[in-house]
Amino acid sequence: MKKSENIIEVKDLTKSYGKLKAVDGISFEVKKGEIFGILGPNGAGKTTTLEMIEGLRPIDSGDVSIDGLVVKDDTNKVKSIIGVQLQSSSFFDYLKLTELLEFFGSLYQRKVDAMEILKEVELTDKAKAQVKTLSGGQKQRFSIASALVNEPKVLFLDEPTTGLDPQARHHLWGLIEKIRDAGKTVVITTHYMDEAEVLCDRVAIMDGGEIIKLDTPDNLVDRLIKKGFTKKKVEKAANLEDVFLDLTGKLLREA
Amino acid sequence: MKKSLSSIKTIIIYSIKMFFRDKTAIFFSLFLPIVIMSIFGVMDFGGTAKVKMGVVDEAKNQLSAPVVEGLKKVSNLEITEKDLNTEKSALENGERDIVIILPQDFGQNIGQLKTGGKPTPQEVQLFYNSNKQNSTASIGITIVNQVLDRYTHAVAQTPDLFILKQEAISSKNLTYIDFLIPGVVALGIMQMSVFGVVSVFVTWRDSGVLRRLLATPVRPRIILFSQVITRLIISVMQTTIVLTVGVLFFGIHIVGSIPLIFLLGVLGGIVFLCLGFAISGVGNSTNTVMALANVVMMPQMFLAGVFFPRDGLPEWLKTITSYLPLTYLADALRSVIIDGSNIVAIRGDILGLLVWIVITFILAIKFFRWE
Repeated sequence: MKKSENIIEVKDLTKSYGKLKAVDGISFEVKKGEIFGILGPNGAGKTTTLEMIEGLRPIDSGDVSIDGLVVKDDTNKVKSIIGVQLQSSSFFDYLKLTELLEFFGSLYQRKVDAMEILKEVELTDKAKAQVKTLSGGQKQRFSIASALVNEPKVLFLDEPTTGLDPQARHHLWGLIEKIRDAGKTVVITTHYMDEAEVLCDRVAIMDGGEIIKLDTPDNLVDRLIKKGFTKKKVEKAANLEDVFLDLTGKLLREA
Repeated sequence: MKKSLSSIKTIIIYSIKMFFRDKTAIFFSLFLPIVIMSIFGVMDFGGTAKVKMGVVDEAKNQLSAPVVEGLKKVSNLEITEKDLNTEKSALENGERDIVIILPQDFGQNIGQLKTGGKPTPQEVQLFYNSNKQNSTASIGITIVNQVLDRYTHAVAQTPDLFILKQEAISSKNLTYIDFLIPGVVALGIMQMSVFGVVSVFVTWRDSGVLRRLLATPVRPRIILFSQVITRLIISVMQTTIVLTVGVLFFGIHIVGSIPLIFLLGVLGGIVFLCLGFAISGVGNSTNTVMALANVVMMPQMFLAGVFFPRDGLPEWLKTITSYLPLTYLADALRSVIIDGSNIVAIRGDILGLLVWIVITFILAIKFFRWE
């Protein structure tokens, strides 16, 4: 399998709400096995783009295909080969984590080994707990676990680290890299640039419903420096986050 | 098709699991109807209450004693014998329904009878409570009249010209609880269906769970259909429990066909489920929608003849309330459960429910939304 093979192809994708063009004719490709980031300020159209690709929101015009399946025509087939983690990571009350995973598995006609999936996201000790009792980081990890029940080819993560403390963020990055290394493609939205820099193989920067730049984080930074950009404050070998983690340790803080 | 069936089965099983772990839901749907039934059952509004009668015997002689004894023998009377002032103030307080006073010279006109003359009737004073439901006092007055008549006949030794031959035909021995329980079953179906749909769907929609479900290959109509079936299953369980408790602990008599009772439960369930779907689409927050659900259900709870017969309502209100979906359901259940009516006898109510299914289904399609 060539590394450069495209698994997602987006062409002239458009979505309008009344006069507002939330997504304005964007095109890009995601390569198999990469972590692809969609960056942008609030209201840039990241989530709308993601939801159209996932088949959750009707496409006004343009085409999206995932692994050769056209989303518009084969919405349900597409849904069965992708895993989706939404911004709000709520689940049913009154069901244990293992039951929720089994429930989601059977919606894909799959018998899942719930404990095995929980082990992947380090939640085995919470197997019998309900989602509402989990910490923020645990909720996000469970949300990712629920998106893995169908062994998806592509995993979509919508702002997975928003609201997490540095320890939980670093831990989640490790988990996402592990998933990529296991051969899955990951598409992630975020507005944390450090996160994109650490995680993403390539990023698309969106604003006002358009993609204004698409490249590897390295190339984007190099190009800016070439233009003669200098920081007001010279970067030191460490930053405040490094200090924070040095002082408080990398151990996860969750009961 | 096979995939759909498997998804339907999954959603139903897990939904029922969630229902049984949700203590609030259990309380409102299974426990509350039984509580309502017990409270109203113990109060027993329907049973003919005894007439509380105060007897003031100012004569206290051998002529007045048989009258007092005669009144005491009447099982519908609860006799007290205090002095005039006590009895009258008890009447004013509502502790008596009627008070009768046998005057000091009670029966002195009997003497006239013995001398062969035509006696002038003597006045016996009777006070009654005019505030009380008139039936209680008037039953008492009738009984007093009868007792005095018998006494007159006995003393004057005139023969009876007519004797009333009484024969009881109804052996069902219906009580208020027989009236109440079918109403409680209907009420339970309404609340279970409307609140069930509203609370589940609005919570799922608000929290994003619904969206998460839609991100799987399950089709939206499968989710809706599974919820309908889940709620109908729970309604059937609820109906079974309420009726079982009614039979075992309140001695109600289920005369009609059990399958017909459940058919009615399902028809009513569909009406109120559609109503629930419609309502859940109208408001945005859980609170708004719950308030709206109450606005729709409260009037029906009191006007559809669940706790009391609608006969007491003003004519115009009686006409309007006869078209309420809960009225159709409660009336049909009642005539099947206590009168043993068959499907033909309640065709009017069934037609009413079917019309409501059409109306609420259209409303549900118009108002229900996923986000």
